[in-house]
Amino acid sequence: MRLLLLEDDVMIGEAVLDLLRAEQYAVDWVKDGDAADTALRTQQYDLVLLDLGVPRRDGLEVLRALRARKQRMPVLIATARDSVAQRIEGLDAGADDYVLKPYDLDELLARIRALLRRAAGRAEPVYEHMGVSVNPATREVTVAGQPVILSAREWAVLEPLLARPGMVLSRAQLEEKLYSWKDEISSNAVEVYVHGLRKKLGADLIRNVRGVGYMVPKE
Amino acid sequence: MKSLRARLLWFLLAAIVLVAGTQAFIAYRTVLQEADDIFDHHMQQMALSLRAGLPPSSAVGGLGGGEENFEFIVQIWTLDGIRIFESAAQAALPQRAVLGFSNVQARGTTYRVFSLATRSLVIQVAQDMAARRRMAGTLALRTVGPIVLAAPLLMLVVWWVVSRSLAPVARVRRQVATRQADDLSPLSETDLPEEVRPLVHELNLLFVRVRQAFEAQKHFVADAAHELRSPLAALKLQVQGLQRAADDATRELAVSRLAAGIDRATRLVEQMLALARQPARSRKRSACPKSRAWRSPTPWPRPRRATSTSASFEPTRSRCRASPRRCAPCCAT
Repeated sequence: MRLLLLEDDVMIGEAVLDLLRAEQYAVDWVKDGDAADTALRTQQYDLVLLDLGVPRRDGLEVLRALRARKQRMPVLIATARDSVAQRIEGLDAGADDYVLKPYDLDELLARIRALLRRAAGRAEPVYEHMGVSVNPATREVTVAGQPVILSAREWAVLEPLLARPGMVLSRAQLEEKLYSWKDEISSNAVEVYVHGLRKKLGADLIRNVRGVGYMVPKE
Repeated sequence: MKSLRARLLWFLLAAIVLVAGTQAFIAYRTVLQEADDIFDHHMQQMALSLRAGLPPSSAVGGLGGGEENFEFIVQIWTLDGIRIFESAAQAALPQRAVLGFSNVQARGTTYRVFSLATRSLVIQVAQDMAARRRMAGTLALRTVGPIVLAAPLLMLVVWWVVSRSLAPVARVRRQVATRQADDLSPLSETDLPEEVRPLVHELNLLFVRVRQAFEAQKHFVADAAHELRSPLAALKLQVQGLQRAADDATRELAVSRLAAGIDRATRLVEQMLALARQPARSRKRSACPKSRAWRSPTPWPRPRRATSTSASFEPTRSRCRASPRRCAPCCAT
């Protein structure tokens, strides 16, 4: 899944960045409100992590503009503004969650998963689709009761596809959901990972829509 | 004497007593003197009146009977020394050759005598000085009486006026005395006399300044605590990064980041302490702890994204956070 991180503190930003990427999220990090606004207008994100006290444009303004544009991805505010009035303001401006600094990373990850779950229209944390059972918290996958080991990148391709059964994701979109800081992504990386997923999970799980992309069919 | 009221009262009342006393004394003496003159004149007139109407052969002996009046005695002598009239029997005033006014001792008291000589007679009119003094004294006292009565009344009035006039000061004192330690609301300036109002006004202005200083301190502490949150959040995340480090290289990186984070937090605390030690007025001009100097430069190359479709989000210049509440005490932005 692809996340946007708005955080102007360098140390916090780089720590969160590395930790989120270790969890197989593709993260874009911006340090001021204007850059965040631009990113949100031009890119597709599955979730936004918003710090409020950032230069150029306040995080709340970015959020309000986002919601005014009818962009519906979940937004999690992570800030040091802790008064009750400020929390109410943030939530009423359109945020889905409000977390105070300093926060625990595991808690942050759990909250992110919860928001992504809801955004996918699901409530159950462990879900099953066409015989494949997935636990996003632990990244465990079982097929017909048998646990399957997925590589990190295979997981990064599978998760967005399973999150929206019936929705087609293009190869470019899937590439955006991948991240690698060690090497560049090769041009057929997505096909390789889809192939690996089909081998492990069954050929019917991921359908190729010719000329458009891939999708997981609805049950 | 430290008390305005005591000083006012003391001097005013002393002045009243002094003036009234002097006035009473002078009046008393004057009246006595005036009474003397009046009685002397009376005696003189009486003698002059008698001169006209008495024959030389009037018998000795008085009109007889009745109470003898020894206060006022009239004796008439011939030029030869024979007493031919006396207003009281056995008055027996010695014949005096002195004409005009003189004093004679007789009957255990002093008589003021006026002697008038005619062609054939000597008319003597005598008045008991004791009686005279008694009458004069009564007269004098009646004159002085109003003054003596008025003085205490005046003193009472002065007392009341002074107390009333200084009552606003006492009221202000009570207002301040009943206040709580942190009550800095302004004192009431209504109904205060011109002498005291400027003082109370300046006091109220001082209260305003003190209250502002307290508020500034409170804000500073709140903002300082707030500013510490980000460094602490960074430390917490860096520790969690260290905990998750899977290989040595990652662990090294995490440790160095953690060390840098601790250094930054330490510097921040030091700067805040320095800021807190400055006097309040100059605090506005000094550096905000969130200014650029606080950010540690990133020593590691930023991971690059390979795809060119995404826009590049270059890091922008860090600046003091725009939130006015947080930066009010220290930032100039």
